Formats: sequence, C-alpha cells, structure tokens
Amino acid sequence: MDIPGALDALVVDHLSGTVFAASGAADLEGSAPALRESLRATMDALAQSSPTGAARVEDLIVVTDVGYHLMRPVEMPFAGPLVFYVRLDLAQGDLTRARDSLREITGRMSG
Amino acid sequence: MAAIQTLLTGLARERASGSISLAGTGKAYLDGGRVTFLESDGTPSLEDMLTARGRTIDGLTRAELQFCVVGTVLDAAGFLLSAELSARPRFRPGERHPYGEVWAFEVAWLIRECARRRSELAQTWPSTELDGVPVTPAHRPPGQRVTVGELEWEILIHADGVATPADLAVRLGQPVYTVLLTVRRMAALGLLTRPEPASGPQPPPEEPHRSKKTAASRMPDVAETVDGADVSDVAEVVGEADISDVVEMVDVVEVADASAAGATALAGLGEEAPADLASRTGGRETAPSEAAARADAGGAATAGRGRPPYGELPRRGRSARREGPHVPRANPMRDPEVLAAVKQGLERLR
Repeated sequence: MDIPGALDALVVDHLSGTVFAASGAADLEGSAPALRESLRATMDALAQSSPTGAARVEDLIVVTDVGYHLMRPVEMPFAGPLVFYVRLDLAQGDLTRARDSLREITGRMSG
Repeated sequence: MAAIQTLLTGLARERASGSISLAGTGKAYLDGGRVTFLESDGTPSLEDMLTARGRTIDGLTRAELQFCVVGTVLDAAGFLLSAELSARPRFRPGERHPYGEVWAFEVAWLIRECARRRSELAQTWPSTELDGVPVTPAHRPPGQRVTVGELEWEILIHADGVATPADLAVRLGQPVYTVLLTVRRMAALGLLTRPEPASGPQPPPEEPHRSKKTAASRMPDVAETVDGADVSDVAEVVGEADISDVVEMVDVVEVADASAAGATALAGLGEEAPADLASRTGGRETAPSEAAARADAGGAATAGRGRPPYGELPRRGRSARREGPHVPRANPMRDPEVLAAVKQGLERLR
C-alpha cells in the first residue's frame, strides 16, 4: 500500500458515470453517483462564489469526524474529467502524503 | 432475427476470438469471449473524436488511450447491443482491432453498464423529446444567473438550430451518450427550448427506430429480451470457424458469463493506468472482469427491466417555476376616481 491509511479508492468518469476501478471495503461503485454529484455541486458553488465566477478544481478535500475524503479530477481527451477518489482513515491516514501520491500518479496520466 | 446482444453473449460463452461484422450497424471484436472493441455506425469513431478535439492517438498516454477506448466502446455498445440483426453477421476468426489490446470487456459488464446509462438518462430528464431534434438554447436563462459546465458551454455555443445531440457529438468530438446526458440535464435546468407540443392529444412515445438516421438520436433499449430467435439465423461464419462457435446463444441474456475472471486489461506497463490506483490500496480492478461477476447476480434483474415510461414520469419540479406575468396591485390612492371621491369627502367635512 503506497497510500498509508487508505480505506477505499475509486476511479470514475465524471460525465458518463462509468466506474473504471474500485477497491477497498465499502461498495464504492454504488456510491459513485453521489460522489459525482458532490463534485458537481462543489464546482458549481465555487464558480458562483469566486470573484471570477469560474472554478477549476485541483483537489477536493473533505475532513469528517472519521476520515479524509480526497477527490482529484483529471482532464481527459474527451468526456471526463476522470475522477480519482480516495478515502483515508482519520488516525492512520496522512493527507499530505496521500495528496502527493495522487498527484504523482495522475501526473503521469495526462499528456 | 436476434438482437446483437444475444449474439455477443453467445460468442462470449463460446470464448470466440475474431471479428463479427453487423451489416448496417457496426462491428465487434472479441478475444477469448471478451469484447476488445466495438464500432457503431451511430456513434463517432475514436479517431474522429480525437481529431475533432485536436489530439492524435500517438499523442495519448496509456491511461488516456484506455479511457478513450472504454468511452468509445461503451458509446458504441449503447447502440449495438439492443439493435436487431438486419442481415446475417459475418464472423472472421482471429481478426483483431488495432486497439483491441487496450482493454477487455466482459459482455455481461457491457450490458449492465448500458442499462445503468439508460436509467441515468431517464433519471436526469425522463423524456426523449429533445434527443433527436436540433438543440435550441432557451431565449432567456432560467434565472438571473446560471452556472454552466464545460460541455454545456460547448453545446450552447455550437447549437445552431440545426444540429441534433448526435450531430453535436460528432462536431465536438464527444461520445453521443455524454452529449445526450448533458442535453437532458440542460433541459432539466431550463437552459433549452423544448419543442412545441403537437396540437391535440399527445401521441404515445415512439418505439426506438432501427434506421441508421435515427439510431444515433436516442439510446436504444439495451434491456430487451429475445423471443423466438432461431439459432441458425444468427450467424454466418466466414473462414475456418465452426458454426458451433456461435450457436447456443438464445436465452442467454440472463446468464452472465463470469467464468473469465482475472484482470488482464491492465498489465503493469511503464505508465500508470487508472486501475493502478486501486491496486495501490490493496484493491481490485472492477471494470470489467470483476463487475461481470456481480452482473451474474444483479445483471439479470437489470436486463429484464422494461423500457422506462418516458414522458409519463413527472418532470423534476421545474414546470411550476414560472408564474403568470406579474401584475402590480393597483394603489387605490392613485386611482383618479378614488382620489376625486376622497377630495369630495374632505371638502364636505370643511
């Protein structure tokens, strides 16, 4: 395990909803629609609240009482973005390392 | 004749390797019973989409190529799987697609994913009324301020009053499904003009057309079951393959072939692949091989579900938004007759 404290991971196409990969304890495939919707709602809200009226999300990080949720949209040649989602344990997870790790993986994906 | 979905399920069960040409519809490639590529006459090709977006296949990373192949194949599957065979298919054993090595799909997973896409379309906007007509932006936005996404923006600025969602998909280099879903979402938000309702009683929803022209304008029903298909009708084998390679394909829709387990699609190559992330967290690849196993249990129920009653479901609470024209309530003290009466009354009091 390269990402310490990682509980689940999911790769989903934001526009089409197709799940490319899923792992971990929870039924992440079933939660893919909700994750897409939360990313969409966040992007819309940020666009409306930002001074420029536009938003380009690099990472979406949510800290709950039990864990970290890390979401990273990556642009693809068409459709997309491809969204990488990792859920981390609050005690064992290292948000900074997870974020670096995710950035490193996705950095090798987009041309 | 049988549906193509039934044919492919039979080929999967036989672990067929080769290509099968589906006249007037498209072409499928299989390797060991798994689909390696699909081409549909109703959806843009991988090359066309990349060209429209100013990219070339050579310029893609491995992960991007995987993403594009999956997107292209699923888009084609949405139209191919439910289509009826219009002529005898031609099977060429051993023929491979140039990008057939990129990803392998279990037929059961394709069927399940197409069913999920259909239900997402219906949930987003339960009407097919905009699927085949020119995309027309609303004359006025639904509110004083609206937020649009990237693809919504592209659709709005390329909508010329002629192009249908399928035309826009070709023009924008996007899968038809993606454009169709976005158009439906925009309709739900009130960003698009809906076609004038026909006068008189509304005709019942049309059955999906099979013709090439309209095929691209709607997501067909992937959940059709096949009745009375004659096995000998289904395939004509070209070359050396035995006819038994493609028989036994009737009534197989509810039997998902999950026997081919294991993830071959994402062999660890130099570059990072989407599923590598999953493996880093001790996980497994879901699409497509793992998913097929689940389709064994859940896919049959999904596949047997009928076409959602488009047009009969309630709209998503948007219809009541607009009230009638605003008529300001008259101020009685501005009415000349009232004013005159008040003046008279005051003068009497003096």
